[in-house]
Parts: sequence; structure tokens; C-alpha cells
Amino acid sequence: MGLRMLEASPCKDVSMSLQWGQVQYDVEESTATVRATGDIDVATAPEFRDALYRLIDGGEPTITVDMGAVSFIDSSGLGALVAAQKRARKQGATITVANLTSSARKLFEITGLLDVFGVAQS
Amino acid sequence: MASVAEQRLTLALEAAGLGTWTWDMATATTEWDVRLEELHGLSPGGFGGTFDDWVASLHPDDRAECVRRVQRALESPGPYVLLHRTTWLDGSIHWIECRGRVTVDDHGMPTGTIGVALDVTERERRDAMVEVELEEKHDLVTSLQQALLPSEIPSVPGVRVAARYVAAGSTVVGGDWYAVVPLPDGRLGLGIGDVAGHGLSAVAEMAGVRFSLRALAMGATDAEDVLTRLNDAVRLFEHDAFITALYGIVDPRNRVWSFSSAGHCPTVVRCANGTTSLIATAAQPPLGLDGAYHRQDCQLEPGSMLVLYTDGLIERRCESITDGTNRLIDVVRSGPTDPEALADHLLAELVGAGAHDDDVALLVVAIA
Repeated sequence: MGLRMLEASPCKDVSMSLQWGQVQYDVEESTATVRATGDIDVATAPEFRDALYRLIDGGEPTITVDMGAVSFIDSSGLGALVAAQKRARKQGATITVANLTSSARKLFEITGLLDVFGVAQS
Repeated sequence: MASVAEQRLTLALEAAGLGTWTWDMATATTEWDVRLEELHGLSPGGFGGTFDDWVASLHPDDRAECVRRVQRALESPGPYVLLHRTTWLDGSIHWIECRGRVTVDDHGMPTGTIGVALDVTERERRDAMVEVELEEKHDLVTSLQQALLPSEIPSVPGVRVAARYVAAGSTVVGGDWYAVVPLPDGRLGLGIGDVAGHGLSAVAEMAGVRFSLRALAMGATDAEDVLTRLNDAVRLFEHDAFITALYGIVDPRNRVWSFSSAGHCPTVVRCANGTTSLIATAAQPPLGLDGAYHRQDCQLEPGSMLVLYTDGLIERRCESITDGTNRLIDVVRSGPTDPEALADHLLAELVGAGAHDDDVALLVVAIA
């Protein structure tokens, strides 16, 4: 199987108050699915975004981000997804998100991002 | 003739710049080698040779602590470390780090101390400089933030506004902002937003967005025009930022609240009878993507209050945003009716004194 650990970041020592973040992502190459696990926050969002950038720059036309195992996402995390979507669109590609937890779904709904990432309105 | 081992030791001490001492309590003598004398700015043989002479060589502010530490080491014999200053005859101050060990007799009773000492003035100077630099950087970002978010809020007759900004964990400034713009037709423009991230870059992006919004607000009569044109500016100038924003115009004559939201948290409204709820807000994406924004009009009753806020007020790491929103509604419902008092109440109840993850911007608006 094309399952490969891209990166696993330990707690980032960004500042005393910003130490919880931890995010992992597996990339299944055959379907271009990124499976994110953990927190996507101000500490981990830049790495997460860069991982998506690499996939986009690698020429994938459709990338799916599986959010089923994301425990927390804040506005920086949403910012990483939006930045990646903007980059994808410039290259004629698109990013969709799948398996949103109910609280993440609420956040996508409030921030008007369901349409942006191809999530059906309930 | 010194043994090979002794010669090796001397070489090592010289190479490391280490001075050594031996304190013998029985004979009440303290021996320093020439390097330790050098570390204290003394010529060979310049040290007096007693414990009291050592104490006298210490910086006055460090004496009590050093003596206390040596006494404590004598009480339970073992290694100890001292960091102290010494003033040379020329008036210059030098930092010395001593690593000592208590010597004991056959019965385990202390007989004195031996140890090595090193000049650490450069290290201490560097550490102090780094600390000052960090402090200056934080002061700079904080004062920039304060200059960008003035606490003096413009107003129009019939509308009172209280504004607050709280940095994350009281030290990390972020990109949350508010803007209050009196319009020539007697209405009041109110904007709030969140630029994701922390630190100087977030503050700089926030400043760009906030000044753009203020300029656009003064020249436009419609909330949706302001947000659509702000979006154009963001797409041109701030393309990497993630920015949510809400801009609305309140008319004190007919109490219409006309607003448009770019992915921002919905506003809380409290009626004069205490009924409190979220204003149903059409989902529109954050700034920076394609598309135009639409406006919603909302008829307010006399005596209504609006609470505009950023997600730092409701977001908790271990609970859903719905729970956080419901808590905000409860606190608004039971809070005071004066806008300044309600703003303080909200921060006290929802932000508190502990470390919080995110910064908070808040506008509380009372309509007569």
C-alpha cells in the first residue's frame, strides 16, 4: 500500500502558552488522501499547510483531507486549509475535506467554509 | 617535582581558565591559586588568605546568599554551586561561577571546602542582553497593538459602545481587531475581525485590514459594499492571511442593524426584556477568496444590546464551539445593562485570569 508517514511533529516550543499542539498526517498516495490526527492549531498549522503545498505542487488534481481524527482545529488551522485551497485553485486543483467531526463541522459552518471545501450542507 | 597527574591537572585548569581554592577550617586559612587571584583582579599573592577575605571579595549584594549556601553545604556535605559578582580594584564588575565540594574527616564532619571557579561575565552579559531584547520586542508589539486599537471610542447620539482587547495569556499579542466609524449620515459603523496567528506579522496584517476597512467604511453607505471591497483589498495585499470579519451599520433613528459577515462569529443580541440570542447569520467565507458578500438587515427593539466578539471569547480546546457560544449567551443574558460594565463582566466570566489560548476583541453596543 502507498501509506507513508510524511511527518510527525512533536510538541512545538513556540511559547509557554502554546505548547499543546501535535498533528500527524498520513498520505495515501493512490487516492491523494491526507489523514490528519491531533491538533491543527497555531503551533502546527504551518507544517500542516506545507505538507498540503507539497502535494499540490506534486501535481495532484484532487486532494482529500480526512478530518475524522482531528481533535482540535483553530483559526490558524482553518487558515492553513484555506491557504492550501487558494494555492490549489491557482493550479487548477481542488481540496475537499471529509469526515468532519460535529464540532469541526460547526466551525466550518460558522466560518462559511463548507462550500469552499465541497462539504454538503446538512 | 610535580607528578605527571599533577602536571596534567594544571594544564587542564589553565586551558579552561579555572581557578581553584582550598579552605581549611582547622587552620582558618583559604588558599587561592594564581588563576583565582587573576579572576578577582588580584596580582599573585594578593589574596589575604582567610574565609573573611573571601567574603569581603564578594559583591555586597551577593555576600549573604553565598555565605548562606556555603553554610547549607557544610550542614549536609556535598557539592554546591555559587554564582556571584566581584568588583575589581578598577571598579569593573565580574561574574564568577564556583563549583565547590565540602571536605570531611573520618567521622564525616566537615573540614572545609575545595573547588574551582570560572569567569562567566560574558555569558551573564549575553543572557541579560537576550532578556532585554525579548522584553523590548514584546513591548514594541504591545505598544503597536495598543496604538492600533485605541480605547477611546467614537460614538453617535443614541448609541454607546464599549471596546476591549485582551492578548492571549496576557503576553502573546495576536491579530484580533475592532473598528468604530461614525458615518456622516449619523449612523455608526462597527467592525470586528480576526487575523489568524500571533506576533508582529499578525499585528501588521491586522493593521492593514483594519485601516482598509475604516477607509472603505467612511466612503460607503452599505455594509456589503464595505466587505466586498475589503475582500478585494485582502486578495491583493494580504493573500496569505486567514481573516474573518464582520461589519455592520447601526442606525439610531430606526434601530436597524445592517451587517455582513465574512466567516465571523455571529453577533449576540439582548432585548430590553432580557431575551438573548444569536443573530442568524448567513454563512459567507472568510476574506481572501473569490466572490461578493451579501447584507442582512435586522430590526432591533429600543434598549437592545449587541455583542460583537472574536472566537477567543468562546473557544475552548476541550469543548465544542456550540457549548462556548451557549455559555456566552448565558453570560450576556445575566450581565449588567451598561455597555462598559457588560464588557468587563464578559471578560471576567469568560476569559478570567488564567492562561487562555487566543486573544480576544470585543465590542458591546447599547442602542437607546
